[in-house]
Amino acid sequence: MSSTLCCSFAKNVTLRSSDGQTFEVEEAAAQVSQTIKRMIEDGCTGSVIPVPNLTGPVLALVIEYFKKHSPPSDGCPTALLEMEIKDWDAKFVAVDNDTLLDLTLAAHYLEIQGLLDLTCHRVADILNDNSVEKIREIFHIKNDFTPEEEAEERSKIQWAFE
Amino acid sequence: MESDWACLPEDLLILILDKLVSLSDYVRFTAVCMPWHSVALDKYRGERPLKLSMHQPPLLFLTHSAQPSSEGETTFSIYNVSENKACKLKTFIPCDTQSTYHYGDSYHGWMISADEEYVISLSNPFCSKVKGADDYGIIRLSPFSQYCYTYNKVILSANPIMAPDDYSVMVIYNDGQLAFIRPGDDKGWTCIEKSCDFVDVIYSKAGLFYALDEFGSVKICHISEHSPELNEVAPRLSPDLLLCPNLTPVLPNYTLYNAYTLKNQYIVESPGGDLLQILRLVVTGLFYNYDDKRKQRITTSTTLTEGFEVFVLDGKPKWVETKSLGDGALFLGEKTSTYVSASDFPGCQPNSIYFTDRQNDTCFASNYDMSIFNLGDGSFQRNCVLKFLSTRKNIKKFMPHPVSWWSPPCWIQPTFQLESA
Repeated sequence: MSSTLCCSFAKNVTLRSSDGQTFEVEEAAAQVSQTIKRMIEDGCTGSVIPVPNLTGPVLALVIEYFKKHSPPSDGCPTALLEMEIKDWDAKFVAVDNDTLLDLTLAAHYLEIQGLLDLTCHRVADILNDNSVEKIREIFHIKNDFTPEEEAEERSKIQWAFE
Repeated sequence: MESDWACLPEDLLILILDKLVSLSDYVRFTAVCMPWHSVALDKYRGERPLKLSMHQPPLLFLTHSAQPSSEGETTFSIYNVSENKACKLKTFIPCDTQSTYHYGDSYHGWMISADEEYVISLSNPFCSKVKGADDYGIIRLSPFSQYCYTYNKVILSANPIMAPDDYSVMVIYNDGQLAFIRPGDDKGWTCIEKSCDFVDVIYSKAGLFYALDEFGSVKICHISEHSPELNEVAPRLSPDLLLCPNLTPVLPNYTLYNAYTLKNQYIVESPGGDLLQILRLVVTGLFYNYDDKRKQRITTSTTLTEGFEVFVLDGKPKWVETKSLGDGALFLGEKTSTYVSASDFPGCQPNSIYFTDRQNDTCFASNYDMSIFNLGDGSFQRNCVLKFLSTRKNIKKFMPHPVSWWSPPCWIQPTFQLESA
């Protein structure tokens, strides 16, 4: 239980999700998140770090990301490693849209710039070349324009629709 | 966490918007739902779609209705080459009125028209409210000075929507001389002394006019100083490169009685800032045959682009031929060229030149000369552009009025007007 007190060579921290699940992760890896980094610097490392905006499954995913993106202990990452990480990233965000939304919000809340870039890129890729109706369908967005507003919008920017 | 894409925090929506490179994607984004709409059209972000519009693959402006409707609406057709679809649009801007013609000219989404006295007017069929424009959305420039000049080319240094009081218009007169005007001041046209033989001019990303002369040399044209001056930045091309080979055009069932070839020169800036010079080899043939039934001689002509040569200016500076535009797709018009990264736009082919008719050819030629050229292997996809327009249904719908030489199809960049404009 007292893993946080253990002073091993690589220092660990424990993160707790909104539904009470706890995860242990190397401190260096967790500091990929600016939010967590600040909490550690403010002296929260002695206890469990709460992450109330993330459920267990989402936090588990984010920790996977932490592990892949933690600074390498032995100097600079090689080009090969960077390529491998890029491939890994692409697979990491090839998820269903609910998970993509969770990851986007998590990256936003935890201030993980790399992950935020990655998820927003993924969203932009999905938007690319899809019709408005299709975008609404993919993201479960309700059309909240009145028919008149919608008709007016379309007439103004018709060339992008047809 | 409950999934709600509509209510993403504003800064997240902005991050996503910033990653969209296609203007049509941006436009569709605004129409998904109210929260997305208000973020995308926020006045602080207003410059973004305008900036995007300068780097979009242009659309092909086909024709417009001859007369506005009783409500003052004009209909025009545009064709999206990369997506192979066309649509008809309505605008209150008279694209060309009865006595003004666009001569195949557009720049930053602005149709550049001239009347019979060659007084230039600018109008944007995608936008109606522009500062500096009249009630019809038209910006009229001063007439040329006392000379009765016509022009070969007109370019703008900035989009009048973005810089209504701070842009310049540069023309090449039909005798190859350069002249400019700043619509914001009252000085009228300034002719640049000792400038002659110019065939093309661009406004670079660094904010300079680059003018290309018929020998292939490039000069920077400084207009900010009290007396405008020209500085050479690229040497002439080797003269043999500008020579035209003898080619014999063929038209089935017709006899050739005259043919001529010429090389058109264009200057283009790549997204990376390299200067390119493009040579376009065009072959025109004049033909006749004898109609036995009507007992009369029939003459016709064809004009066909037979190839392109591309030269890039190296650091020496020297022109070096290249067979690769890399990821680039170049939309070459008689008056305007646009260079985009093909990978940003699905449907755009890399290392390709998309080209349209030269204005003067449409006057006489019996064919269209619009197609896609692959610089790597030198092949043409002759059918690509024209296939769409080859069916009777599409012609009837999108080109109901015959194409005239004074208003041939031309490239036009879409502009997306903001409500606040």
